[in-house]
Amino acid sequence: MKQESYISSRQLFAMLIVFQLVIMMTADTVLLGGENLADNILSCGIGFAVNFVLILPLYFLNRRGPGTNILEKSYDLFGSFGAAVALFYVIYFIFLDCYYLSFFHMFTVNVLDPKIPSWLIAVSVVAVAVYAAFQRLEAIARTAVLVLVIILVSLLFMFATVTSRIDLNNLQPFLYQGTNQMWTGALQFLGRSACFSIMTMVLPQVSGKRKLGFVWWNFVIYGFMSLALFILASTLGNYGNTQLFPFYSLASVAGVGPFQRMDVIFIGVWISGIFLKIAMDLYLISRCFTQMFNQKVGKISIVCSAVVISAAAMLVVSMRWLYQLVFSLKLILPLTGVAAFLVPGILLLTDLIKHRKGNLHGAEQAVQKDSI
Amino acid sequence: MASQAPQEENPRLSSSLLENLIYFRKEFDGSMDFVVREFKITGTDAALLSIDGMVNKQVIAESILNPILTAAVMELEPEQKMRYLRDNILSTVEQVQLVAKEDVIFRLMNGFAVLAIDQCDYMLSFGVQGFQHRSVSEPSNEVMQRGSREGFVEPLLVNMSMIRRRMKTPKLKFEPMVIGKDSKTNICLCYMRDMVSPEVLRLLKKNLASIQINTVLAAGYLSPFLEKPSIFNGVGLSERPDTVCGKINEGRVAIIVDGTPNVLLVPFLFVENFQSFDDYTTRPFYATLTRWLKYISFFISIFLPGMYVASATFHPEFLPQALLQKIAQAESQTPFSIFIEAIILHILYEIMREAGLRVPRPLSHAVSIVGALVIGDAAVSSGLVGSPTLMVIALTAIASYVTPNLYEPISLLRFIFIILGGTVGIWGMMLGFGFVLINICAESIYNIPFSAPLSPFNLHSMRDVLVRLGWKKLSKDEETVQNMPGSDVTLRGNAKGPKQQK
Repeated sequence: MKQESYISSRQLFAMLIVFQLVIMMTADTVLLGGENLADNILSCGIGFAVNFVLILPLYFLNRRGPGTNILEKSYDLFGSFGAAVALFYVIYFIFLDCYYLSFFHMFTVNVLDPKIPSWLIAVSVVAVAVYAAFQRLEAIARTAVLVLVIILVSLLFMFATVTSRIDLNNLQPFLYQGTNQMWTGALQFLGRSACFSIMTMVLPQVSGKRKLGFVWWNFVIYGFMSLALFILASTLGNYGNTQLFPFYSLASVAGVGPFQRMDVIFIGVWISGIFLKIAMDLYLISRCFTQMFNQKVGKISIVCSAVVISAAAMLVVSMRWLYQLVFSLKLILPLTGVAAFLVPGILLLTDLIKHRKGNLHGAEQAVQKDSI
Repeated sequence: MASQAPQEENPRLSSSLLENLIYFRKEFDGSMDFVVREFKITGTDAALLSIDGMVNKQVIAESILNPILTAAVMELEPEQKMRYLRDNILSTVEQVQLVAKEDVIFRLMNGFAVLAIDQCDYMLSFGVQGFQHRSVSEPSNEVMQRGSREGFVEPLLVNMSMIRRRMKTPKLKFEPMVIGKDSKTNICLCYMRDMVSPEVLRLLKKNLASIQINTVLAAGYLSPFLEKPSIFNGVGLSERPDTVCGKINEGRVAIIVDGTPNVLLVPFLFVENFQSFDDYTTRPFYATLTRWLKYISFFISIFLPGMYVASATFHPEFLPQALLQKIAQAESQTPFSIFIEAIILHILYEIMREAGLRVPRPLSHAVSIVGALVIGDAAVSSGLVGSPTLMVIALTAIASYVTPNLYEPISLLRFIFIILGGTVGIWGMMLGFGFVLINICAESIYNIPFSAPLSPFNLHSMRDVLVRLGWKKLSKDEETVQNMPGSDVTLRGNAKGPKQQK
């Protein structure tokens, strides 16, 4: 098997910021559970705090075996039954990419209505992602750093251009209509925290200050989201509540000098982020298949998974019941919980028990030897 | 004086002069430039072998033949005669003793004269090269304002001397190699012993040794063997000795190829395409400005036509109202869509450029006039193409010459982005941009990331990327290419393993 390359913690967390920002930008008042977006700034605070708890099983698991990822750990602990973990992550990544791509597809169909077939755009995104996935982790990480710079500069420029439109009268007091929206928003943010599952796979390949990186990542994504929500709520007011993609609406009203609209920035940011996210997931899917079978199957799985993701995304957008199921919290929240917290937690517990049993067994043998 | 050990496929010379001469005459098969001057040295048969046109006849006459023929050689044994001539009579500086037939042919081909004496099982070669070559002149493809006016020429030795004159240190090493089954082209690796990474050097030598090619007639023949296929070049090319000296001082290896005025530079990073020698001779603030102009020009030359086509065709809302009206007004008069216009103009421009390069110089004015009149004036006034499209393509063409190293990829990518913009719109442009980014970031040149120091990012290196600081700061701690972030090689040469990295 080819030696996996190493990336720095800066590269990892830059990559994760891109992935998280891209999905957070699709937030709207329906998904966030109400019309007072200011409440969701509090949701960001909750998400920020809960992330520190969610990371704990992974943190301790990684401390016990810094050189092994979750797939290798599951095989170490459960033998061939460890394939179940690999299979779960394959399904989870396919589901996530389908979720991301459906959103994107929905955006092109409902908001932009392009002159070219929207399925062609979605398939093109996946095709570029397949190319990126074949270039492996290091290439994706390096690209993500450049994309992050582009995204941050673009979004800050966009935010700067709308500051003149900020009207604090558009803001409602925090928790004016109860705490429901705050909790729904927090669950929505946590459900979309797909980055933990990436960390489970690639942390052993990361060098540098990972703890500090995680804190920064958590701070940046929720800090940025809070700023974005504040600008969104104070600029668009009630108009934002009626929009399917309020961030896009914000981009289209932004403008300065000859730059009358910023739609292109939103589209650019989204496309560059989404293809990288899908590329990363396809790469991780190939890692799962490599672990289960061999490297050849791993490579083939990239193309096969891409086809499945594309087809599934088209299906989701075209079938209402499926669309409601995929985009509801009922599916994504438990799946993310299992991938980010439960699986690492079970592996950690099993490892602790086995290690303890091994110690006890060793101690008994030592006692028997002494008595002999 | 070095004696070259013969290999198995490299048969030894015979002690019989006649046998040797028969062998070489058969090898050259009566070629008219193979010259054998036979004479006697106090009764012993001898011959001087050379290739006409490769040697300086005056030097041969004055330094070899005259001294031999006028010398009083008292020794009786042929070997003793050869030794006496070598040690006491012949005054040429470069003398090499040869024992293998292939080595004799190799020396003859490189402008050496070879002395053979009957009953002596070795020959003596003398460096008497005297072939004609172009004199040192200003390089035409890398014109600088303030740098040296010297550019590389074709002979390897002249090029080596131009580098040596600028780097007067014994740490500068030249290492010869021969590549090409038939051409047997001399190449020379040139590097600073204390700056180069031994790992990079080892990989490079391994790559060069594995090249199986019949002829090497230009430096470009070797580039594909030294890098992985990609849109952008991982091997640099320079015609300037000062540029090459600067690069080898940063740990790079220069490959001088005999017969070509271009020197290859390995490893070559993406950001180096935007650095020119003039940047380091002008004041820092101006160098920084010109560098940013280069970055902007690069993006204009690749994306502007595609963005223009995409915006005008699919996303008119992205354009300011006044500009959109002007474009609509101009395009309403033309029969083709903006997409087709851009494609036609781009192809026409490339045809004219190619013609301008190949056309004999006396005709170049005619080509320029026809091009300017046909494309610049007649096409617009006859209503075949709109003037906004023409302006965009013209601006793009000029911008692409700001970074001449990147012309080839720019030309290709510009064409692809016009197609993407005209068929898939802004979506295609964005995805194409993503593809290019991935392509740049996926490339590693001898275990050094091609995209470094931008990604993996290194703030310290930005002093010569985003800005160009003054020499007072740049000279404080010189950076070597192998110390770029993400690099898997160190100055000491060991490839960094995962454990070391952690």
